[in-house]
Amino acid sequence: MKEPTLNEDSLLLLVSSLVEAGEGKLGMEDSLESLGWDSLTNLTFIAKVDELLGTHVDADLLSKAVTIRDLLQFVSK
Amino acid sequence: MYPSKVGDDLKRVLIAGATGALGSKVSIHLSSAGFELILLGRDESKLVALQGELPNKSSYEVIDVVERIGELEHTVRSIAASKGDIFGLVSLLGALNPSAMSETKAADWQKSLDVNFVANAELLRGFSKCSFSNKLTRRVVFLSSVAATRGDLGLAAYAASKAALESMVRSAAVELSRKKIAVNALRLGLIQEGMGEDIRAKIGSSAFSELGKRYPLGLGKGDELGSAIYFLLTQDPAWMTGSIVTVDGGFSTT
Repeated sequence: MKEPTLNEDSLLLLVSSLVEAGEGKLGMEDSLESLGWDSLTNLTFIAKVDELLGTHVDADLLSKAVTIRDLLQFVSK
Repeated sequence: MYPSKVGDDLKRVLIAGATGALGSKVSIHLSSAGFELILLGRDESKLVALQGELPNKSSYEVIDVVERIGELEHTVRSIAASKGDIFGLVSLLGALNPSAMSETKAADWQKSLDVNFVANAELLRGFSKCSFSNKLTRRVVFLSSVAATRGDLGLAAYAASKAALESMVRSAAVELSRKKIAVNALRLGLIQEGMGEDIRAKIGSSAFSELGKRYPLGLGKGDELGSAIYFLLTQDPAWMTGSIVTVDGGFSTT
């Protein structure tokens, strides 16, 4: 069964995995740039959200995200 | 249109992955050129819709090639047994799911290999076991990608599976020459329809526009692919086999 949405904790877990940061080290207000978020991370985030939630993230919208909190819109309905 | 030696009874081409955006264009191109197509796809409504667009005689078989990968060989042989001698096999099967290597797990590597390589190998295995009514050289065309020989971000699984396909084509060409089957592949650059639109959604408009600039003749179109496949199907006499033909608008030359 696919989870319908990700909450803040599971989003942080996902982002930790994507940017290879230790668990519990990230906060919702951290800037993506400071985490080394790049075009490869974008691709992989889109693939993961598709796999986990079955929803398609638009790369143009995703490119406007500044902080981890901004990613919430893509993983919650 | 089709090779001069091909009689009316021998213009059947089995086309896998027919209902994708690219597959439809290629199907229409080949049907217009006089081939009788046997369409393989997983969605019957799409197959019926595509059939309606084809100017020449066609039929279809509903099969999900990834879910039923173990049955593909048998499926091809049954189709040949029921519909008659097949002249060519064209496969547009393939899927690109870009992902960082750190997030590409065993199941992901396998999924990429299955759809881009194993399914194609199984189609060819089935085709090679069909009985052919005469000595005319049969033709097989697969689709590889420029990614098979050039590295890029997020493409490790896709690139590896396309490279596997290319390697298989070379050995299959040698092995199947005794059955008079010519096996070739097109190494494609990015085509706008289908995968191109998918990639635009995944990398964003500005990155996609930058990617387009790396193609001296611009991104490809389905019609260009159709004419390249037509060429490999109709080379007469057939002396090309085991060839990987680059069709990429000049991308590889830069």
